[in-house]
Amino acid sequence: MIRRFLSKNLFTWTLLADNMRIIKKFSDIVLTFLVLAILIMLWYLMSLVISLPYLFPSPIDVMNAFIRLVKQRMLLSNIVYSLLRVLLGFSMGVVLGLFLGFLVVTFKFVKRTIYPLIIFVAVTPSIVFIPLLMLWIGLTDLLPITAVVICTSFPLAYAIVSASKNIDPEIIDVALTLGATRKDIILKIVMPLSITHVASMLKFELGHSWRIVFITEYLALTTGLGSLMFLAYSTIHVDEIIALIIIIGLLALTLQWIIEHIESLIVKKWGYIR
Amino acid sequence: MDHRAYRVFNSQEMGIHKMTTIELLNIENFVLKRVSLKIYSRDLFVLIGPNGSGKTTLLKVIAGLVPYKGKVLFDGISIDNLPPGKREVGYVPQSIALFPHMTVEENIMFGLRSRGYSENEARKIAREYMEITGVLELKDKYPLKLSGGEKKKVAIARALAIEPKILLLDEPFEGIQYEHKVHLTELIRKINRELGKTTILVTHSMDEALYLGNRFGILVNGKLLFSGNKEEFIKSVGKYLQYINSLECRLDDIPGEGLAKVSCNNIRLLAPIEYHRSVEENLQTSKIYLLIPADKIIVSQTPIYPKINLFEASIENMERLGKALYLLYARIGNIMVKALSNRPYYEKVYVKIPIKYIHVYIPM
Repeated sequence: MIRRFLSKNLFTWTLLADNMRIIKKFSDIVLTFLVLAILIMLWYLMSLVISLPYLFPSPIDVMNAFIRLVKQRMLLSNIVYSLLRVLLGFSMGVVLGLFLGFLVVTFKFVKRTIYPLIIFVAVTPSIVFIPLLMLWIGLTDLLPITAVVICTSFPLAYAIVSASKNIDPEIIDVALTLGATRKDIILKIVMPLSITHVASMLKFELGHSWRIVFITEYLALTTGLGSLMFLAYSTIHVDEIIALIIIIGLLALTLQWIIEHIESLIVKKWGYIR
Repeated sequence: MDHRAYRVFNSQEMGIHKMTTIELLNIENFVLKRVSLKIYSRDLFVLIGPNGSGKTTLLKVIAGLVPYKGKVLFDGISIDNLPPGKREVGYVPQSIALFPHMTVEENIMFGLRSRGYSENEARKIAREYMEITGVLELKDKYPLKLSGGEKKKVAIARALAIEPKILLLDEPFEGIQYEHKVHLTELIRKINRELGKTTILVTHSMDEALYLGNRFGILVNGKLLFSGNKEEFIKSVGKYLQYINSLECRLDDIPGEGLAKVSCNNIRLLAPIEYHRSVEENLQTSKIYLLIPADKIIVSQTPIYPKINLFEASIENMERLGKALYLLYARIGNIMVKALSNRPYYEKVYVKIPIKYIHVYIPM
């Protein structure tokens, strides 16, 4: 009986199911906003109860601090500074990392000599290099960029080598018997086969670059979002601190979103899990 | 398809000995111990031996993928100094090793492109080999989407596309379903017979080995204990391999289609056979050989029904091969049979030889 009813109305049912899916997606978005609004309301109520605006500012205070930062023309330029440092350092780091990685994979001599050093730098928390770099490079733009290059390239090279180790050695053997040169093997086999692994590593590295840039700016520089944070902290502007946290978080989220798209493009083009 | 064919195909019969030969002279490395071997053109040489005996290593030596001492000669010319890509060998490893990021067609084109063929030429040749191996309709698929048997065929097409002098197949029948196995067996036979590709086949699978091979080698612990034609192989395989029994018997009668009564010394057995007139003509005088894998022989303390090919036997010797693996030497009348068992047996036992696992070979 139920089956007959279902089969008769199958078309209506599928239409309904489609509509349900759209409604569900929409209701999810509404729900997220609702939760956010409730949290902000709670925050606002708590700030009223606590009523210490310099230590626990209300959402309105934070909004005002944001407008103030924009009006003082500090925000945009500092965002650009930080972003440039992250992107420059990150892209240089990726290029260097790819180069180092494939150098190690290609030449046994490099693997024997330089690879242990690469592992050492890759596994050491990159923050520990900052004091040394501050003294060697000085408090210039080069500092965060160099720090990011170091913290991106070495782990990336490490990732490439470990990804290439996972490649079935018989694949390389077969390629050799088919007449592939060393260049063919690196470009046509090892690179495409490690790219999915490397692409997911990039996402992680980008988040790491943000942290390094922020820390160097906070500790040593007078420009960038980190230095703004330091300024807000030293003048005890909690509203600005919270505004900056939200801005930095949103920026990182956007960049992450972009890199995730790039990652999926790479995987689609060269990855082999299709 | 019945693999228990008793026709001997041998390169001498086909009169093509004058072509390329492959010679290994005193090959030695971390596994192999002074292996010397000659493989004639168009031979389908089957290499058999237990795990870890160096079969794969021997293939890799020919392909130039592992270091070795000694000489590998193609047509009398040493190829020892040539890199794998210049040796003109088509290698199909046990893991198949298709390039997972390339389509079937791209996989097959890879070798041709590496050898400097233009895209169009490579595509054309790849198409030819896809047709031969029957994978043309899979050409745009990725290896991940293929079945085990399809992958093997693609790997064979990829190896053939570079037109190698010799085809090296490492355990091609491992891990594929029966139906694919049959197709693959026919394909390998076709490649060997029709394309005339000299082939070295490493396998555990006695059925396929006997059906395909015209020359055989037995490798144990890195030593080549035997090499010779099918008849010699069948006569002596039991001597060299623990897990195979080879019995010399006489054909008594063919009572029904597909079955033969044979007597081996004093014991009488039923064995599978393909009807052939010449067999009937030679009845009574026909010498036949039976190969029975030791792991297929059933040993029990109580009789096993039906009582076909069931014998009373006494255990004369026993070797412990592993935690729960014993090699039993059971005496049935005048003959000794090796059987693998997961528990020890002593003195009197019943031994059953299942008909379907008996390989029959009739020398012609």
